[in-house]
Amino acid sequence: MPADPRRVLTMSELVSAEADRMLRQAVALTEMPAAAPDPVLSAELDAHSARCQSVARQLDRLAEVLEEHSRAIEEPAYRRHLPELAAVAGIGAVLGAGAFALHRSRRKSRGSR
Amino acid sequence: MSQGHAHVHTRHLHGHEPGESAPHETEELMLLARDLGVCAEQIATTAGRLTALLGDPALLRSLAASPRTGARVTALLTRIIAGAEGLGCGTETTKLGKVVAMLTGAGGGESLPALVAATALKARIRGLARMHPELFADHDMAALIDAVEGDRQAEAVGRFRRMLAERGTGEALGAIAPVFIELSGLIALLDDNPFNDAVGWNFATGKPMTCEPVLGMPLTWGSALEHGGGSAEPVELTPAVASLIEDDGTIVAHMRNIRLMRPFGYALLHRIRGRDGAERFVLVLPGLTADTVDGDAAMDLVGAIRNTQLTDAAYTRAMRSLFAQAGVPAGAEVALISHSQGGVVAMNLVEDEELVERYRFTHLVAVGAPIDYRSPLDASLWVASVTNQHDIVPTLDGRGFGSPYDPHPDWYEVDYADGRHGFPACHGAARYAENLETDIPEAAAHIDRQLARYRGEIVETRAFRLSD
Repeated sequence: MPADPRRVLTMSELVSAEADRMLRQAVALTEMPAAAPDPVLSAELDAHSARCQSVARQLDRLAEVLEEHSRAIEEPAYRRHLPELAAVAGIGAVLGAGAFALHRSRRKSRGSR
Repeated sequence: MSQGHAHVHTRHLHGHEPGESAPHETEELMLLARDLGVCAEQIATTAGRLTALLGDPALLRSLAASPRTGARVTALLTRIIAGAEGLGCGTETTKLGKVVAMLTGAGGGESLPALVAATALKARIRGLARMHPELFADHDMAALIDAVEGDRQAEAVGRFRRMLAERGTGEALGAIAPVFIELSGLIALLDDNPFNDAVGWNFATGKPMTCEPVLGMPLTWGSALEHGGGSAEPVELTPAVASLIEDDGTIVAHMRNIRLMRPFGYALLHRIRGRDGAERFVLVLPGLTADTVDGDAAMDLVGAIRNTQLTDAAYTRAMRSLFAQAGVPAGAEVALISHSQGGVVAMNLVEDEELVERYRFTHLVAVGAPIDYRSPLDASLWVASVTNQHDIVPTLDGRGFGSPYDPHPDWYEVDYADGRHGFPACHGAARYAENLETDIPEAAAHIDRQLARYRGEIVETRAFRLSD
């Protein structure tokens, strides 16, 4: 079955919604310490809230990358694989140039003898 | 006589009679625990969805279509799930999460939802400590709680073993009982075994226990060991024993009768002629015969496990047989008075459609029984639950007395501490009878008032031997 860019886009939307959910939890946790008459619990709530915010930021980034991934899948195959093709062509060119240079240097050394 | 001062309170945060309401700070901490439980579930939902995304076939197919962006997606997603500052694996919602947690170690103490749920349980422990200052005043208990909260399990085990050696099993278990559920939940959440996480989650979010807390084996596996169809055989009580049966119909008298029947494992059925002239029935259900794991008696340990998980256990089937043999007429009013495992079986009876259609169960009193998550079919059934806070048995369904969740606000629930913490002594029917009479007489009087229509002349008392 071929890759479905719309499905990947839906994943991006889902991840974005989860980022919002995490942000809401971060806020909820920040508001809770007022009700926690215990320094250990307060410290834990602050730490959880900070981690929720960090996860929310990472999820926002993931949503962007998924969107980018969806666009990449949508592109025609040759454009989608352009970077890989370029890399292969580059490696081929380097190897070819190397082989040609080696070949020439061997011919020269044979001619001088 | 009971030693020490009885501390009585209801399980409800807002309190109802009898007894004192919980201290203000305890109430705050319990509400915080409930809020944190909700928050942990929300975060766990996100963790579960992202873990499921990692194994989504559509995403896997898309990786081949664009390996460059696909690799970035995979790397980022993996970092969010399994990274040090990440979310965790969603072990509580997906099987894939459990596998990923096993492989990456991103479960337990590394998982954000598990840590939030653990904080909820810690808030409960602090709330309970406000009610039971002796918890933290006891150096060993304070150190044990600290070790469990800090996920230092080897140290916690060492502390507990020392308590067992120095105090004896009964005192050590009794001391730990008030926070047994919270400590078990913390261990299950913070250890590296993702298969027992469900126990901690259920405790932290107010759901019944479905697997054991150490390995995470489903409790239904244990119930499979039970065999037999369950039978109730009528027996003649010797004149000596019959003369000791108390007949005033109070809850204290019923508890003493249960104690009297304990060596024989008999259930009692009283036919009562009430003060209004109507005949009614009181069925008295005893608890575990306790001395064997899996004997002939229907009230053995295996039967107890099965009863808490499945409504159709040998003890329950034996009670159906008892009703048939005793000739209780259809439509008769029946009160169920029970202790320990008997309470669970009483609940099985009032959840049985056929029995509920045939008889009018009007009252159910469960003493020292884990019945909190049960749901009688008839909402008008009057239910009372009496538990000693140092008795571990009533917490075996996963709801300790410190739980901020209240599945049945309409039930009459009372728990208390009587100053003597030894377990299993505090679980015995004799001790409960003594406590009801001496330490919580107002609770006993309230129950007796509710049972007034079942007090009168005992026309007949029949005993039945229950077996597998």
